[in-house]
Amino acid sequence: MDAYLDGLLDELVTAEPREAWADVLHRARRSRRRYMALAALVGALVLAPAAWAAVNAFEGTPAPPAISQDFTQLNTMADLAVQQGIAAKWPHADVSKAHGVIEIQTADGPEDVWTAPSDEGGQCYFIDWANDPPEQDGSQYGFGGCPPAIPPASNISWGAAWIAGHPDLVTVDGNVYVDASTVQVTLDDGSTVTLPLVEHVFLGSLPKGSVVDKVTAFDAAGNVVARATAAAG
Amino acid sequence: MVDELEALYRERLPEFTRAAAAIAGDPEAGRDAVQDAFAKALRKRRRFRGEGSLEAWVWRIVVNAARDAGRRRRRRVAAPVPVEARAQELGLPLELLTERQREVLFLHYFADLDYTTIALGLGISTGTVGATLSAARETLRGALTKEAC
Repeated sequence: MDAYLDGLLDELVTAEPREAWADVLHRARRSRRRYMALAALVGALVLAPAAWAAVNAFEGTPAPPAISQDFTQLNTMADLAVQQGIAAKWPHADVSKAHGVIEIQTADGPEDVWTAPSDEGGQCYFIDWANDPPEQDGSQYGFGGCPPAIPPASNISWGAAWIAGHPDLVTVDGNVYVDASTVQVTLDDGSTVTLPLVEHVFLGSLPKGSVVDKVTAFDAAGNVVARATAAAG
Repeated sequence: MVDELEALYRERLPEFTRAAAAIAGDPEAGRDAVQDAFAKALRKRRRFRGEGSLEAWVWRIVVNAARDAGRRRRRRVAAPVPVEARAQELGLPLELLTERQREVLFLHYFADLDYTTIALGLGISTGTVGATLSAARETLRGALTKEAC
């Protein structure tokens, strides 16, 4: 009876596979766009303190190979900069210690900042969107760098970046060089947005066209501990 | 991780396709579910924490995608789905099985998965896999024997 049953099952489904890995990659990209509107709503939650629990869950995630490759490429660029005389010395990332620091939700899906200690005592960073498919060379699309370990006079180094792959977003990120609990950015229209701060790093996503005037860091008691303006950046 | 997913896809596509087709009840819906499931696995790859094998994690996504595809298909079309129609032609009383019994049977038979991978894929214990599989086979055996008499 078992052999008979096996025979029936064998005849039940004849689904010929059609290998199409390119289609899988295409679907992975398409879904990101399909849920963009919903993600925009979720993205607004980033600005609410309640969303910070999710932010913290990401901290310490070991960097996947694609992100490690991005840090390796930063090191390659650093070598090139020194070889070509652009700088006498350039920080290098300790790729083996690269890890996730903050993940926020944006209209384009989760946006992550990863860091790796630099050999000059600071932190190198790389920012990417988790749902982006990998590049041809296996690295992850995004941007990063190794800022100097020496703090600026304002004790905050920050930047507001727009990249071609995510044209509807402006990423605000940076480092606070003193102990702080939260970071608040003030836009040119006077509105403020509070961003998560983890391991002295902060990350936020703003709609296209947003202009940041000021970044302020606060301690747990709400006292201002550092402030940087756009002019002093 | 992307490389591992691609390798798994290329190596086990026939099994994924056949099992997904059986669960969805429709070969085309099954193929579609596998494509969607791997796309989802690519997007969510950082959520895989290495608890269990990558294959088991992907199977879970594939099973969910196939279930959803089957439910959508059944809502749209009142007639039996192709796999159910084929079962009727063969005299295989699949309608006597619960959804879980069918899934365990299909994953065991069409994908040749061990109990642990089936358990991880369906989110149940390995003991439940064994018991469910035995019950499914017993039900089908009983019905077929009765019919033969």
